[in-house]
Amino acid sequence: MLNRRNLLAIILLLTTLSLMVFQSTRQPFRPLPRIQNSLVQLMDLFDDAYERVTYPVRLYTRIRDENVQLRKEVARLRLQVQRDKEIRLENKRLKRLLHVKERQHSIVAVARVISSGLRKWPAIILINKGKKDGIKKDMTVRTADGLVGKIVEVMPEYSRVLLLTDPGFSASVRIQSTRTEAIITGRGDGRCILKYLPKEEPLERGQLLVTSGLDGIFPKGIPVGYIDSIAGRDELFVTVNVKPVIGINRLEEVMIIR
Amino acid sequence: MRKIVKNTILWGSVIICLVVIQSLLTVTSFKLNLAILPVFYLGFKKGDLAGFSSGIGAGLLEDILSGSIIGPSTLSKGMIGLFSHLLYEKFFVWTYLLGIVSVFLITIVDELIIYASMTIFSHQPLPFSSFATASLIKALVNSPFGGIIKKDEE
Repeated sequence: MLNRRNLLAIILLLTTLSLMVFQSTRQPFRPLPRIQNSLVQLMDLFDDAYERVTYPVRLYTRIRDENVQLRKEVARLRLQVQRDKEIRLENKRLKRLLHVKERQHSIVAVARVISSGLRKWPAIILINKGKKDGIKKDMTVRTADGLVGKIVEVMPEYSRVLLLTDPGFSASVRIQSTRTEAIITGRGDGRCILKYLPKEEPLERGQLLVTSGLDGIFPKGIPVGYIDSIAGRDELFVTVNVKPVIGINRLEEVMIIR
Repeated sequence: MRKIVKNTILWGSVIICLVVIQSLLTVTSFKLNLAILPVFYLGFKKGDLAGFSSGIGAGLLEDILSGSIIGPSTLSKGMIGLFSHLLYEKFFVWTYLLGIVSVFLITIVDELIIYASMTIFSHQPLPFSSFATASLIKALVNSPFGGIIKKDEE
């Protein structure tokens, strides 16, 4: 005869297992969007309170460090602006000649990162822009530095972003210098892996990877990561460890682009 | 009846707050697992039904907020809530050290069930070595809580 405890355990086990089996063959359930939205709002409130309490301390050290860095950056950028101006003019002239339409990625929204996920896995972050702001599933999320991930779920006022470091993420990329194409996917530990790269490809540590635009999801030319080390080889391909361009733990604001 | 409603609201609020707080705090870049603490406490002190219902509630909340499949946290926390009272029944003498070790092990078990469920029914969320480090840190953060749980005097 089963006692109450064992009976409850069996019911729980059967219910959750059948739920998970069902979801593994289809999409994860998204129960009660209103409740989800309220919970995220609560999370946002806590986040705001935490930010307010720790803000003065962080502000001082950040401003001091930023000041030093910005002075260096201004000097470097002044030089670069002069050089870039010439290049841009030349580029426009050449494009006009080739009748190439300049395609710009339009920014749908700039969002604040509310939470960096509940367990860090799956690598999902919450942002404070949703359906009301024109966000749609599969839109690209980036910072000024590079690719962050893609929108996987849209709520009325919030959205979830799957980071490029999650094993469930993949994108088509190119090595910027050699233009060789490959597929990048997350490793789950804050880094990424580059797959299907031909074995004979000459590789150097620090080579930049950019999106190729061939997957139909991510616009072309967004910086993704730097080649770090070789993870493995087989008869045809080499697998490479990649360090993302963006600092996953330092994400504060992101852009959602079309 | 009034007491039951009062306790449900109180513990429900505690669990919601802890689930929200744990999603915002990180220790050495790892998220904490604080929601297991009230589940274990309720299961241990108030019996298997209280532990079971709080475990289901906390787990469901975590699953919804995680953005992944629904089930792993519900299963692990529900089971832990249900079986926590066994410790109360089996150990005649409850010491500080036993409390600390219990909370440490229960946190590890919770993480392990979630990780295994995710790996089987969704995808391996992170390499096992990273998972082991994360679980260890979470368990270490939680374990001092075990020291303050006491058995009721007979």
